[in-house]
Amino acid sequence: MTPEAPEATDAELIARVRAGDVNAFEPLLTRHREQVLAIVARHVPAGEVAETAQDVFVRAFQSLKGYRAERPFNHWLARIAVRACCDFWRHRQRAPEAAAAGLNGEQQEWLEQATQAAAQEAFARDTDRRRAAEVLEWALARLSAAERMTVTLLHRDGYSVRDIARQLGWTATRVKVTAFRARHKLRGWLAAELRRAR
Amino acid sequence: MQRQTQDVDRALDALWRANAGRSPPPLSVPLEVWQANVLRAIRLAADRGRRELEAPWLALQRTAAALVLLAALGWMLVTYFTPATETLLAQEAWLSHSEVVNVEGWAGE
Repeated sequence: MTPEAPEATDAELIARVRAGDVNAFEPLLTRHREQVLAIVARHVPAGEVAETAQDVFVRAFQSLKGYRAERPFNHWLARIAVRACCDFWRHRQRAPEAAAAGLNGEQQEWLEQATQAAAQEAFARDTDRRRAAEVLEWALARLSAAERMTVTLLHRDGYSVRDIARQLGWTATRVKVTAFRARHKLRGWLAAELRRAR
Repeated sequence: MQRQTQDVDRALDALWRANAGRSPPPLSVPLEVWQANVLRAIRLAADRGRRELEAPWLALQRTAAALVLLAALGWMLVTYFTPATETLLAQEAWLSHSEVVNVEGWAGE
């Protein structure tokens, strides 16, 4: 019985790609595609995931020379993925109808329910997630790309300010300021919708 | 007012909570097809990079154009933001711009 050849490490594969062996990128892609797809799928619309994730790997390939081996490759790739999502929203023009239109009746009803303190427990269990996603999307569509990424990473995904700063290549202060401004806007829009619903 | 603030806070909390565990939608194309497309795009990028290496004058041309553009922009910014000597002197001596120009005989300069 011959022992199986050990799988090449990320560092070995990267060295081969840097030396001009494009085929060595394939095992890297296979190894890390799930992680990149998961990050991208959480931040861009379903129909755009494939293209954005492809863009992440092309960017990674093109900037492989700048990769420093002291940090794990998957962390470096995650940063590229988060920035690609941010760029996606920056390039996509904010839909004017999203900015102008308010919530519909069912969405307002969801919002109204969400404010009932007594119903919080039941709400957390039985919430209509689709409606919640619609309301959140309505609100996020009105934020800038940077604000959108910051608040989703901070509040929905639970990352720390330091982690977000690292992923977006910002200072912690910039993350805090952006999150504060985004929260302020979201509160204003939700307050206006609640007033409309009552 | 306070009640409304609390309501908004509660709604915002609920919004994040309800969306926190949402599983991402499946990929619109089969994973293998997607991977093949990515590899194709990477090979194209590699070919493009190789061509640029083989024709260094292309990169040189691009760099030169960028430098010219940058220099022009820098010059515009410097000339726009640097106040005229007369203006600085006028501020220092509490004179008007035209008084400085007249005193120093700089009219038309």
